[in-house]
Amino acid sequence: MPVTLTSLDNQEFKVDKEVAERSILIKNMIEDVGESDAPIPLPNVSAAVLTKVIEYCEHHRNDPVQVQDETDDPRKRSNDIEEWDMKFMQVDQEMLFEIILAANYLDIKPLLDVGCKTVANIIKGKTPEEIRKAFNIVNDFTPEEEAQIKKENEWAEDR
Amino acid sequence: MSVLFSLLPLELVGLVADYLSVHDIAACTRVSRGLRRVWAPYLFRDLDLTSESQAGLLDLDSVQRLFAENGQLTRSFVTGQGLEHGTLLNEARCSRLGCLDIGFQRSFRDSASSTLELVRALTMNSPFLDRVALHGYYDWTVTLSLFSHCRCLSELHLDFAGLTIREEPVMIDEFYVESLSGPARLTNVKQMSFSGLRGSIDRIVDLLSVSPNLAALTIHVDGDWSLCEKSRTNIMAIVGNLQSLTWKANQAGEWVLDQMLALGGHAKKLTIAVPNVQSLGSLARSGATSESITLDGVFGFFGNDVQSFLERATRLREFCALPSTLLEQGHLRIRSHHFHDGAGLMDDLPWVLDLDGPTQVWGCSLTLTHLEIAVECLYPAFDERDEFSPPSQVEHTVVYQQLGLLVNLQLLRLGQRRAPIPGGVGEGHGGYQTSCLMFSFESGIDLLRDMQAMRTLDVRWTAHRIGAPELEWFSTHWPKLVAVLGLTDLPPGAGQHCIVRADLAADWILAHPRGVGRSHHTA
Repeated sequence: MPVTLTSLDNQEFKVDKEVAERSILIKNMIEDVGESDAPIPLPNVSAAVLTKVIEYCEHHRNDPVQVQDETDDPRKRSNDIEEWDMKFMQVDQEMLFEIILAANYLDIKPLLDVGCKTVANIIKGKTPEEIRKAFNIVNDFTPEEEAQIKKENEWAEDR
Repeated sequence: MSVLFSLLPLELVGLVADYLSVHDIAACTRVSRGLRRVWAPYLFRDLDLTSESQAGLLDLDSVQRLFAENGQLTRSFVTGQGLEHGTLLNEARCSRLGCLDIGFQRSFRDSASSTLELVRALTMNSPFLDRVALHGYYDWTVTLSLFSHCRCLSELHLDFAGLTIREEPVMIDEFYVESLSGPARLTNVKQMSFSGLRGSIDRIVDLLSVSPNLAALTIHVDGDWSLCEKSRTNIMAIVGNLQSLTWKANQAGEWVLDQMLALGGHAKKLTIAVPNVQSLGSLARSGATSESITLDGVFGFFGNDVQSFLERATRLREFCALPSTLLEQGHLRIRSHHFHDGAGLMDDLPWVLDLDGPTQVWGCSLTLTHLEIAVECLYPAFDERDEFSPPSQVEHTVVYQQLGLLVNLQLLRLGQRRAPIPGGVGEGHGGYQTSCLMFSFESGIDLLRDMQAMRTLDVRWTAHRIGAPELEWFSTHWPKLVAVLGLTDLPPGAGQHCIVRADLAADWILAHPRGVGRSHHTA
């Protein structure tokens, strides 16, 4: 049975229930409301972002439910993104952050993970100046502050 | 764009930070003021100063304030031994701290007040401490203060290296006793380890006595040690309930060890590392129900004890009797019965398993999946044989018959005495080589054909090498074989026989670079 989702800008999306239920938020909503034709409003997600999110959920509709991995090492790896996901994430940065926010709001853990890994991969190995360039951020530190921070960070930066 | 990046909700920044190194996070904190505010706490989330170079660069004065402001997300704080960075914790409010692993330098330890202050601050502010490891530490007041506040504590590791417990100030005793009889019971503690112990270890037993749910215990005694009568009784009650026991000592302490083995034989996992023990017979007599036993450096395991132990150990899955160093001595040898009239001098060596008469079925023959053992085939006095002649089939057959019964074995790691037996068989002629198990059809290797579960055969520490036809045989008869380790490296003093076989194996590997079926073979 298809489910209807309504985006922030009142666009309606018909998707299969199992696709929609990749989102734990929607899954819980459907469970709470029971069988109903009423569209599900998603007032935090725009049509453009919702289109992307649904594309992701369609592709991963048959994935097994992710088990929380209880690894001892709190630091995780970000170099294990699947090829399809990698391509899927080749979007402009605004869309990337929108997808992450939507994945967080809709509670789609695998998508959230891929999004965070993608951001982490942009940051990895870059100097502060390169990060500024990558995210278009203005340096608002005074030279004195910069010197102070450099000193405070010395232990963490020299590896 | 900068707006979006800065507006990423805090919890999502944390998710991104999980994939970044401290180095990357440090770079983020230098990008802009906005990013610094957001990212600085993650700089300290998992603070690990075990790398000396890194710790050396940490300028306490400049970092102190930063850490005090940003320690709220710190979940683990790890310093190497003898570092003083513990003082960082004084000011910080690390309310989420779960793991504390910290070394105390003597100078720091001696200033008792600062130590106390530190730990008090910690225990008050860090209710979720889950794992605590203190190195070079002996102040029981502090330790107990930790216990009474940290209700979540599940792992405790105390390393007393370089100290004797007797050094502790006597004045603490009253407080100590009072605390133990009070509500400070370590009900959540599952794992404890104590190392660097020497002198009286009664205090440790007291701690164990108030830890009703303890499942795993490691005790590493380093030097002379003693236990009072009461503690002896107490520790036995505790050991009997453990899932896992590791006991290491460089002095045996016969009585305790004997009892410990009798009771510890019921722990699922038992590791004993005690040199020069003359008998581990109590392990055999205990009707051991352990699933995993490691005897590291244990020197005296009488043949009959081994035999009766293996016959009775019906749940044993892993048996490791090779020293972790794999040096000089093999510690447990399976010896065939044809040797006795040989050089004679071997008879008084205590760690030999005699396989007399028909093959005995071991109680663990169906459960064993993991066997690390030194196997030795001795044959009559050297002068009755040619140095490089293949060993007699009879002696090997006994051993291979026994091993061949272990049909669920997945890993077989063989070790062998490296040094020539003093005055023994073939001394001066590479005698150790001639007593090592040979991997050849003549010696009956095909008796291992039922070991269908075998995944790894490790012969790195044996004196002999496996030739090409036998390698071929392993590959075709053991469907799950993944690796044979140590085919081409030569043991010191390798004889001609050994070199030839290693060369053949090397050729075989060249011809079968990916092994046969699922198997791979490495040097």
